[in-house]
Amino acid sequence: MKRKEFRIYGSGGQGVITLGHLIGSAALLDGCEVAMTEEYSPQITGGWSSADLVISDEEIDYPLVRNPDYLLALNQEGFDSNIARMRKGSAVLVDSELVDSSDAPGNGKSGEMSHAIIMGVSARKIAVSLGTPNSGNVAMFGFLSRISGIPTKKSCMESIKKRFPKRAEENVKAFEKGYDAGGKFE
Amino acid sequence: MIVKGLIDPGKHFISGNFACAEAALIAGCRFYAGYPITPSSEILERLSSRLPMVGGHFVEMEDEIGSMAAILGAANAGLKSMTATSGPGFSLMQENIGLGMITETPCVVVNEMRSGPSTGIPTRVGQGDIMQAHWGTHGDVESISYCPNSVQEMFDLTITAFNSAEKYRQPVIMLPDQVIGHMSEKIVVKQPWEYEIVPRLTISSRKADDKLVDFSTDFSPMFLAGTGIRGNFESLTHDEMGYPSNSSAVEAKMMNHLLGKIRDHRDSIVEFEKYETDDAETLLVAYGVTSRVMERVVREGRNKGLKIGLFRPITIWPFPDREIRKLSKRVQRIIVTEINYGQYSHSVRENSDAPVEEMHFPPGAVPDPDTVLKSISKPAKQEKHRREKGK
Repeated sequence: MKRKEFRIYGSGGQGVITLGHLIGSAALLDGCEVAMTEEYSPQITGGWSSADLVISDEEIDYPLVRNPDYLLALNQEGFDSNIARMRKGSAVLVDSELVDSSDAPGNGKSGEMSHAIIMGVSARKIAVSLGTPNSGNVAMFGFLSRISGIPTKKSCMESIKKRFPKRAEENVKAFEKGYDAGGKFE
Repeated sequence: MIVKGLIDPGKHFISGNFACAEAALIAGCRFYAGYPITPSSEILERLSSRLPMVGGHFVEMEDEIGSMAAILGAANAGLKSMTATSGPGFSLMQENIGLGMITETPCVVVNEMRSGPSTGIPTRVGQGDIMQAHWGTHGDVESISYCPNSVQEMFDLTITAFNSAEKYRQPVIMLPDQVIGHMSEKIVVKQPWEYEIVPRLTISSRKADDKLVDFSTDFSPMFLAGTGIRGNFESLTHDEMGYPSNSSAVEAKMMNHLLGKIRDHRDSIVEFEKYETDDAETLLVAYGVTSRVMERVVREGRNKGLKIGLFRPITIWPFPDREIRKLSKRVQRIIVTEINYGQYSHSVRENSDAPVEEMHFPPGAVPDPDTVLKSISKPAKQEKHRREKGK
């Protein structure tokens, strides 16, 4: 796999950095090279938070993200502040309950913009319905894995179990729901 | 000896700061004193929970002056010691770094570079402490400073830094930038016994007329506090018995020893990496995260037919002077690229036969490879003019 760039953006408390670590360690299990950088505002909860990942089969020289192939927008700000940089053929994954993408430039009924493809999943709703409202990021993890194949489902599961040894079961459930939701975009 | 509680061998996806903390434990660090400061705080955070697991000690100090003093104390009482900080804290530590130099106290100081001067932009990258790592403390010293450009190197060089500190008996500086500290990457951890760990050499007894330090040899065993052996820790210029002296002859002898133990072993300390330098006409010099940018620039430049290469100092200090000199004889120009307003370029120019250009990037952001490549490919004419002018 050639170099792919990912940007995850959301509010503090949504598990943006955790999601970055989940993706990164799963990609590692897939045998890829990974570089992840993170940024956040001074507020712990309620401020913005972002994680950037570069995943590649080859050694990664420049470790930062410039033109994401995938944007994971967990809140409106994440969508608004990054949509302009998304190129043709790139994918934008949003939490459809929290992000209104209808105003995006060139956004037709098919959800296809002039440059990027927008796909929504009710990640937070899934988490709430499972009784684990904090696992929206893990549902998004499943959604990404289904749509992009990066990382593979098998490695994602392993990285979830390693990260949440005591809460593996509920997080696996959230992952599966997100993964299933990705099916309709195949 | 197998120590329980060290990081598991194998692959890990881990941040530079956590990697540094885990490597310190492998190297035998059993004392940390520090004051939290972005972007180095995760080293302190990790060691606050990890040190007790391996029988070590962790102290959160009142400030960085105290932190540096505490690790010198612990080191002189026998423990391998470390602190971590960033620019503002590093400034406060300078006086006691000098104390560590003259008392020949092994310890590791991590200074994670952010934007400066003063408190600057705490969460953003800078490379402005290059000169400070050598010349921050007063008087003449030879600095050993390591500048990693990946998380794996942050891990490996932390172990090297501890080994150098023990071998050469002085504070050794780890000089990562903010990006390297906060970035997460893959590291491969070997089995603990596969790492070379330099043990501390100490004296077990001393007669009244035995020397405390032998200035005629580069490596003397250490005298430790609290062992019942009588001796002096002296910050004043001192003789081999450890007693202070006003004599310039004694000063010359002591300094010859302090500087000589590094200069004589320069070849075994200096580390660097060359990338595509064999036929390069333009040589880039870069360290830390900037070298990752320039690696991309070289790769893309080569695709476009530019004869371009990269020299990356891993030990910022001692300066890789002979290596730069050698390369400068066969390239047309050298461009020093750094996230500051011109620091390392001074030393490169001093040691180069080719014209040296400076490319500065304002602290707060990592330079963009496309912009760099564009500006490098342009000035062929100007370059020729400059070369003629230099003759």
